[in-house]
Amino acid sequence: MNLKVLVPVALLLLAACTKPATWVGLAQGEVVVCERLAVRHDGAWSRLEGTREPKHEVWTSDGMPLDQLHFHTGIAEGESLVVVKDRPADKPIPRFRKDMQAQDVVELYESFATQDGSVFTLEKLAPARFADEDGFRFEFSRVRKRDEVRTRGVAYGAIHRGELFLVAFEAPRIHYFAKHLPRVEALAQSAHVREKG
Amino acid sequence: MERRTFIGTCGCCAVSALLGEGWAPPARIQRPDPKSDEGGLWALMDREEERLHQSPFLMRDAALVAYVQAITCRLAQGHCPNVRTYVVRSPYFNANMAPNGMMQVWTGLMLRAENEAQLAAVIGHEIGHYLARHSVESLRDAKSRSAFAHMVGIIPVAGTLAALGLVAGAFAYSREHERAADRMGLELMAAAGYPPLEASRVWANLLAELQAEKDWTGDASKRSVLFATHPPEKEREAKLEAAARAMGKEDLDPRTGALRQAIGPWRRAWLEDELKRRKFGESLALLGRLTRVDPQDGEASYFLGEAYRLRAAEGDTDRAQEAYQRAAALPGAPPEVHRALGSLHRKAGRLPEMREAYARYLAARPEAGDAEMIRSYLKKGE
Ligand SMILES: [Zn+2]
Repeated sequence: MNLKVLVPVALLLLAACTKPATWVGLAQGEVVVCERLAVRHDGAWSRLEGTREPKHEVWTSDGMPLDQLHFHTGIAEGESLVVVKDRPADKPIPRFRKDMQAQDVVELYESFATQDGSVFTLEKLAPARFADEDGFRFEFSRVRKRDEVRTRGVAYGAIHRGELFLVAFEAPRIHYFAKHLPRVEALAQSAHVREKG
Repeated sequence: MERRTFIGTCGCCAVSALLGEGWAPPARIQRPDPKSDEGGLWALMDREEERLHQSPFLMRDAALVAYVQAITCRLAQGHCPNVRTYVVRSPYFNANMAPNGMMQVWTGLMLRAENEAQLAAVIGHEIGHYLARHSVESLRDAKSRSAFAHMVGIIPVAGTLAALGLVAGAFAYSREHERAADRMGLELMAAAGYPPLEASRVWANLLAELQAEKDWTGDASKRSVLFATHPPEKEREAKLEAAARAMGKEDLDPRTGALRQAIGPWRRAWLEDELKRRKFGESLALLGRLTRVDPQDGEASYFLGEAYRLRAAEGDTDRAQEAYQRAAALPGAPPEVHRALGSLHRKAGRLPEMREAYARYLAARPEAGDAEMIRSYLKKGE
């Protein structure tokens, strides 16, 4: 019997039960995400507040398992996409480097999206304007580990003055992805960077 | 993990005594009385086996599974019909055997075996546990029993790797059990025509990987699933080697080509799985070994480059580039090696080299998902 395996499992279960964050509906119009990325939206979004993630925000329209919109704003050299605590030393976290190319950023996002053992496939990667920069757009699919739901995703990214800005939307490939895609495209097109300070 | 020394019952001693000259496997194991503790254990494992059938991690490639099952049968001889081999897609070095004859062989083990004999060494060891019914003895040990009951109670969802790992960890054997299984494994190997000496090489390679991880991170693979139940001791490797040398048969064919051919269609996917572990010390030790064993192996050389690129430590960019360049000139390297080189050239501002590398990638993969992105680099020439 391996008790060392049991302890982390128990801790995970505990952590999942104590969630202080709450969903708050957003009013239509312009919103500045994490003080760094201004976007215009149509109002049918809720934002998860109280996550203690200064550079990562999650929105949803129909509710979290059905669709999710992730913003990663102003990720600087050496930072990971999300705040990672108590990562064992022998499993280094993938970190952003400002000389990364589009392909490297996709890989960074993939490692974030497959932490739970999900299977991620890049479908398409192409240049695109985003956040006042010559950025990129990628499409992906994922088989979500937890419920084996097949999802589709679209993301826009750009590196602005050495910092990464990334918006990624993901929803089940049946119905929900197509339902929100035009809204997400419009939202991404409206994005502008707010300089620091 | 430290464990209380097993207080030997008659079964254990009897098995140990048998392991002298002329040891022969016992008679076929019959399904135990369902009302006995052993019967209860079988029922639990039958349930786990049902779940395993549904697992998305189960390899369903009939040729691959038949290859491994054939090795099992060669080793298990008359017990073959009672042992069911499952190949599980997981990059960790592991194999395990449940008392009801459900045996799992993980792809991380198959990726690491240098030849069929090394794979047979691990399978033979697991068959040894089965023939001696070690798990039942462990169950009768009070401490293991309560821990086991607790473990079985908390596996809620089947098919997750974590659950498979927990099941694998359920049968923690005593040192005596391990030694007995090692000896039985050697006997079964020799009887099946494999050189027994390969058994100690499995452990030598694994110890080298763990040492490399420790050198890199200062932390050995404490959470390795296999090592929770099978402590990798230098002493154990030495004992295996001495026992194998005493048995001779060093000139038997380890069947290197057979294993390579069997895993060939899957090796690239398994190497990708391996890098996703982000255990770069271990991966670099493994890939270093693969490229040394066969310097013409372009696939291994490409993944060596990938491991350096992803580790991204001081000097790793140069090491990655060297490995990619070697791979690009060898057979077996995937076309992605040219994309990897193109990316390094682009970052370093070597534009003619970038163009040449990306052009080779696009020629081989014109429909690649990222082709449009790459074409934009070529157009801008930036
Ligand atoms: Zn063992």
